[in-house]
Amino acid sequence: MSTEIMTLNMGPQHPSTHGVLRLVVELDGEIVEKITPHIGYLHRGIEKLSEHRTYHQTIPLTDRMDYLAPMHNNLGYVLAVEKLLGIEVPERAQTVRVIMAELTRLKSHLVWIACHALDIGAMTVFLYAFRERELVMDIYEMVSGARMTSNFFRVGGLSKDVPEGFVPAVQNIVDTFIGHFDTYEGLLTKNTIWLQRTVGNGVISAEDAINYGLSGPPLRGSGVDFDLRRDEPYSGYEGYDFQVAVGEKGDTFDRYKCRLVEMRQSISILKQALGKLKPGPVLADEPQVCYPPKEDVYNSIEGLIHHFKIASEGFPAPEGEVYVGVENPKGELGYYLVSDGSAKPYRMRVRPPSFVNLSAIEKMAKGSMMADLVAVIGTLDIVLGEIDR
Amino acid sequence: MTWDAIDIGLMLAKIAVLFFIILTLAAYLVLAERRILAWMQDRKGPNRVGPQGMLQPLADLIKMLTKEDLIPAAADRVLFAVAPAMASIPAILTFAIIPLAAPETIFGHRVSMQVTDLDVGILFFLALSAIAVYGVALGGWASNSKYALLGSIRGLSQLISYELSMGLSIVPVVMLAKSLRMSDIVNAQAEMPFIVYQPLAFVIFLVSILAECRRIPFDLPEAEGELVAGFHTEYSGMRFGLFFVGEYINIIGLGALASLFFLGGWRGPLLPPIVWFFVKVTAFSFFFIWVRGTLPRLRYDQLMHLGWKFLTPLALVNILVTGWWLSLR
Amino acid sequence: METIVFYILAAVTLVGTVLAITARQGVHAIVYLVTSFFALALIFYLLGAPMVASFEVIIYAGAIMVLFLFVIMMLDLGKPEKIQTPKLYDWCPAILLLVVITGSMGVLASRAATPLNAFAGISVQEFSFTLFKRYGAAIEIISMQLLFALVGALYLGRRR
Repeated sequence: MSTEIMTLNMGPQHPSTHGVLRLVVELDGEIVEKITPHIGYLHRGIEKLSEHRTYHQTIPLTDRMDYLAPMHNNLGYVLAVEKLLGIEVPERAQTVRVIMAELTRLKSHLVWIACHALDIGAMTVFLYAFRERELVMDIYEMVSGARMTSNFFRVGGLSKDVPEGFVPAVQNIVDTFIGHFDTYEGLLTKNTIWLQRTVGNGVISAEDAINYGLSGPPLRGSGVDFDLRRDEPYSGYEGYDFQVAVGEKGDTFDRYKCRLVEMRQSISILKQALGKLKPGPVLADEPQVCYPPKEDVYNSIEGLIHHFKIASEGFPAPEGEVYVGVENPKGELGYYLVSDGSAKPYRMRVRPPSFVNLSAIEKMAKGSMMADLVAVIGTLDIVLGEIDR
Repeated sequence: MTWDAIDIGLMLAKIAVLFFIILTLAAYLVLAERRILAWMQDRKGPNRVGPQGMLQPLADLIKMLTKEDLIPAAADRVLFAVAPAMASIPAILTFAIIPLAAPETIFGHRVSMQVTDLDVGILFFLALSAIAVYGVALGGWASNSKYALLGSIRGLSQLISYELSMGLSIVPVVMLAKSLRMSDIVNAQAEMPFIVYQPLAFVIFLVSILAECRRIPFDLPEAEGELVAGFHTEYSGMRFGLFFVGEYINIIGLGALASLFFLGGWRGPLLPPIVWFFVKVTAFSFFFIWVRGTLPRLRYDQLMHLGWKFLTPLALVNILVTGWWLSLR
Repeated sequence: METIVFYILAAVTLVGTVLAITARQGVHAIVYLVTSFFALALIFYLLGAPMVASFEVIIYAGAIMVLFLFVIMMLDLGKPEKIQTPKLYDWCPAILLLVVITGSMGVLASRAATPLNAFAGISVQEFSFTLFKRYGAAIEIISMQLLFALVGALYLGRRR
């Protein structure tokens, strides 16, 4: 029987396209024949904007890219600038960065499991995960004053030291979250319907995953053992003991398991990082680059001038180009900076993991059913802010 | 058959009371669902309108009625307008055969607590659930929207598939009661509710009515993650409200039938019959809500497999076994 | 009372069927046909055959027409078929049908009308005993035939 192909426009307003993704799907009945992603609805020209801003002024732009993992975006960017400048970051700042990065991973993965479960119909997990995410948000607010657009890291360290109550709050997360993860697994991993929906869905082989340039859980779910935190450690990750979760079949269930193991590992890293957290400076001793302490700015004319100079002129970076990749919750987030010796980058290019991961959507969902496509969008864990930039 | 004025008046009174009861119940079931789900999900739920949100259904009704009634430009206007009624009327009509309590004698007049005790009660119910398909199908088709069309095609195939297993799972009940009449079925359970003899049929019936109500895990026709809102994507205001209320009336109606078929209807010790019946229906409604809070959604082909390759054969085998057992007895 | 109801239902059946034939859009035709099935079912009920009435709705309106609807919905997205203006010889079958109907009406009318029985429902038991005891073998044969047809249709559908 010959059937008519139906073209369905999914998005940009659609409950499960996670923001403003637009997919033009060609359907043969319920079977997906072709998927054409249309992106750019959230394009704000962040890369171009950064060429007209000093290095410090770009930091707030970066946390608007992957708005589910803002601190990790900040981290990648400041690491790139620090590499360009050749600055060493103090021990305490590095540890706090690791804590915030892992909390960010938890936060991002919690949103992922929430939306993924909701797309497949498990409504309760959604609300549970958002309840837990709120605790991470509280810590965000505690350290940076903002729940999403954190802008907390600075070139050379942190904007300020973490406040009192930070350690107990993180400790609370370390203590309670494993139990919450068990709840999710109880609701999902042990649920036959969940297994039916995820096992064998959106399969991508290890070879294909590498060829598409996938990274993060979509890559590891296919059995490729690659994690930048371990393979190209940054911010002191070499000093932590953690496992990299690797799947086997490369289906949605394996990616789901990978992310859940990652969340458990994050808790373990957090535990170790809390042990390492020793008092000390949180900003490198680099007066050319780093802002002076706030007391100096308010109380001395030299401090005020110092602050004003860095804020208005920025600092010149040596000529050259650097690339730094960090293991964002979504995959490899890379910052490529070209400097012509001025106080503004000549070019900033971001390698957004979601953008690259999204390219595999047709490979993963073609020939499956409409409902599987939704599951694949969920399992890719894309953020449009990062794809469009 | 003689119809005197009392009978007609009684009938009209029964219909009026029943209407009031089911509409109120349905409205409060919506509220109950929201509150219970909220409780399961560790949040508050609607609690602002009136004490504990008890006036929320009223507020919702006002909102629905005052909303703009949008009809898409390319829609089939007549069918689009009629479809919500087609979906909710069969749900309401089902209550005509449901006995709410034991017959009472008032002023020497024997009054049965149901609108009509049809000889072919169960068939009437099956016929109504067969027509209920039209609301879903035509509503989606008339919207002239692709999501709605996909939703209504899904709805069509789901409803007719699960009607089959639902119908087959009631057959053993009819075999045990030796009647299609509702009152006979309830009376046949005077000693023991049928769930004791027919646990399998009960389970099949329960799963099938979940699918008939289009509830999670079978809410594919309106799966919001995939089809936005499925067959009622284009509906707004009270037309959407009719689909919505129809769904909840259906939950109550099917819950009532499940308790009539398998739990002995209004029969129970100590408490008055009407209370027992209410308790049983509420228990089924709670079960529906609970399932929604727990399970994810099936995929279309998995849904069909479950219906055709598992439930229907199982129901057939169950009929054969029941027949064999009855012939031995 | 029953006579009035009967005539209303008969009119609905006839009008529904005529409209079903003349409707340009498949879905509309189905809706008209289902309406006439409903009226027909009620006529059966009036005749004292509630079983038949329910089966009329369950099987015809609820199953067969739904499958038709399914197919039609899958096929077109609301584009009404373009109809050519009927030529003279296109009218021949209609005229033939008209002649047959008038003829049979005439024959029926010429006989003395047997008065309708008052409403007397046949119980489900009676109905089933007649169906499965007296005509049991026939029922079995027909159902086997349907099964063959089902398998055959499946085979034909699968072959491609």
